[in-house]
Amino acid sequence: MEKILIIDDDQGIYTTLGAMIRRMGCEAFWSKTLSQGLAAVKQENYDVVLLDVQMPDGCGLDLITDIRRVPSEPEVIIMTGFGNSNGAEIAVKSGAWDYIQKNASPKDITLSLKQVLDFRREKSQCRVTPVALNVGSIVGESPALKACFDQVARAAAGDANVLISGETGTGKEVFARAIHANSARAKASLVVVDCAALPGTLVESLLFGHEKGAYTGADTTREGLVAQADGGTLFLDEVGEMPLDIQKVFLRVLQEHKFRPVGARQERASDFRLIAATNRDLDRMTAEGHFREDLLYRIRTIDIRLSPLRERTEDINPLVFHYLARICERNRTGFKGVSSDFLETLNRYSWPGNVRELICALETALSNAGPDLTLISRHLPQNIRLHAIQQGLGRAMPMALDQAAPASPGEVFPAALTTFKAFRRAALEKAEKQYLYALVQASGNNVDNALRISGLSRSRFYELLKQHKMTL
Amino acid sequence: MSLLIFASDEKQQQKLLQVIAPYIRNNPMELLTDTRALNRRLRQNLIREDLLVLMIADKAELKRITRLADFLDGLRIVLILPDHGRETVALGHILYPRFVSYRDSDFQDVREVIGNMLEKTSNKNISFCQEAV
Repeated sequence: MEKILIIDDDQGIYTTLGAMIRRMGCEAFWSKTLSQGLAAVKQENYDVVLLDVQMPDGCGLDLITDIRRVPSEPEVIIMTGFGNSNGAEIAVKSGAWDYIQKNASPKDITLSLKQVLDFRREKSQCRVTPVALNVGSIVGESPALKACFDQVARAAAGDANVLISGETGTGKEVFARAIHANSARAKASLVVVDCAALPGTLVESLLFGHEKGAYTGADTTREGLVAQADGGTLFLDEVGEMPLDIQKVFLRVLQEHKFRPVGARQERASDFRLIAATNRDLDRMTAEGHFREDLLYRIRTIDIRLSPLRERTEDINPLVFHYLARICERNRTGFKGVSSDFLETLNRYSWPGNVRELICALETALSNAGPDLTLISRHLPQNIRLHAIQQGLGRAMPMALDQAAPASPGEVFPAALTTFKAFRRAALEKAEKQYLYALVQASGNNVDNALRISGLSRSRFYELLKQHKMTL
Repeated sequence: MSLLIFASDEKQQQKLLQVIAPYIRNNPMELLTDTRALNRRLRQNLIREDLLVLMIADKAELKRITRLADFLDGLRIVLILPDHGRETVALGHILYPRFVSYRDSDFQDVREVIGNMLEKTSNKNISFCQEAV
C-alpha cells in the first residue's frame, strides 16, 4: 500500500485530503511543520509528499530538494492556496511532480495523485530489471541530473526513440553514448550524424548511401550511415538543422526502418535505434514551419531535457575534481590541488558554455599553472575571474539601486545604512503589513474570503494579524 | 579553433592538404605523421573544440588509434577510413567521428564538412578556451 505524507499546518486540509487518499487505497500521514515533515521522510519510505507552500516554519518550496534527496525519493506535489507562475517555476525546477491549488476540485487532485502513483509503480517495475547503469563521463549529484539518470536507465532498457535537448555544452552526446552503452545494442555501433555539418547536396547520399553511377562522382557503391547503424544506434546530433526535404524522407525511414540508397531500385532494411539531440526549441521551429511536427512526435518518445550548469551548481565541484584528475592523468602532470578561491571563482560563474566550457577552463588553468602544485583563481581564464570579482562587488554594495526602481531611495533605505539582514527584515515586515491591509479590505473583513484569496492557512493568517497588531 | 591533421601516408596527405588548403590558410594547423606523434600531442594541452582529421592508412593503424579513444574524447573528429569493409567501418565508429569519409574519395565531402564545422564554431564565438595568463 502506497504511503502519502501531507505536510500542512491546517488540520482541515489533512482531514479532507486524508479521506481522499484512503479512498484511493493508500495510507495517509500528517506533519504539521516543515521540520517534522523532513524528519518523517527521512525515517519512513513515503511514495508521495503533498507539501504546503506557506508553513509556520518556512516556505515549502525550499524543502523540495531535501525531500527528493532521501533514499525513497518520494515525489512531491506542491499545494498552494494561491498559485503563481514563479512558485510553479521554482517547484518544477526543484523537481516537484505537480503544482496544484488547494481549491482545485477533488477530481483534479485525485487525478494528479493517480498519475504520480502510476509513475511510481512503473518506476519500481523498471527497477526490478537489473540495470547497473554505467554513466560514463556523466558526473554530478544534483536532483536534476539524477532525474536524467532515471530517464537514461528507462531509455536503455527499451528501444524507444529518444530526444535529448539542452543548451550547447550540457553533454547531450555523452548522454546518448550512455544510453547506447547500457542498451542491448551496445555491441553494435553508435553512428554519429552531425546534421549541422553535412553538406546539403550530399545529405541524402551520406545518410542512405548510393549506387555506383547514381550521380556524377559516384564512382563506387557506398553504404550510408543508416545502414552502418544496423543493429546499433543512430545518433542524429543537431537534428534541428536537418533540411526539411530530408526530414520528410527520414520520417518514413523511422516508421518503416527501410530506406532506399540514392540510385537504387530496391529498399533496404536497417534495424537501428534512434537518439536525436538538439539545442534548438523544436516546438517553436515546428510552429514556424521549420521542423516537421510528425517527425518531432516520432523522435520524442522519450524526452530528456538537460539542465544548464548554472541551474545545478552543486555539480560544479564534483565535475571539477573528476575532470582535473582525468586531464592530469592524460597530460601526465601529476595530480594538482585546488585552492578554495579557485573553487569559489568557478562556483560564482554562470557557465554559458556549460560543462564543455568548464572543461576548457580547467584545461586552460592547468596549462597556465605550469609546475605549480595548486591551482588558484589566477590560473583561470580572465573572463571567469572578472565575473567572480563583479559578483563579489555586487554582494558587498547595494548596487543597481536605480534598476530596483523604488519610488524614492529615501523611502526604502534609512538615512544610515543598516545591515542587510536588518534591512530585509524591515522591508519584509512593511510589505507584509501592506499586503494584509489590502487583503482585509478585499475580503470585506471576512476570514474565509481572506484565506481563499491569500492561500494562507487559518493559523498562519491569525499569526500574521497578531504579529502586525491588526484585527478584523 | 585549430586543425589537427593526422596522416601517415605522404601521398594521401598531400592530396588532402591540397583540397582543404583554403582552411589551412585561415586557421592554425598542425600536421602529425605517425601514431607516436599523435599520442604525444593528445597528451598535451588541447582545446576541446579543436578539429582532428584522422586519415587512416590501414586497419592496423586504425586499431592503434582506437586505443587512444579516451584521449580523443571531446575532440571533433573527421575520419577518413582506408576501406569500406564492415569491420573497418565498425572500428571507426568506436571513435564517434562527426563525419566519415574514405581514402578512395576526392575529399570534396571532407572539405565541405570542415568548412561547415569551422563556420559553426566561429559563429559560436567560444573565445573562453583560448586565453593564457
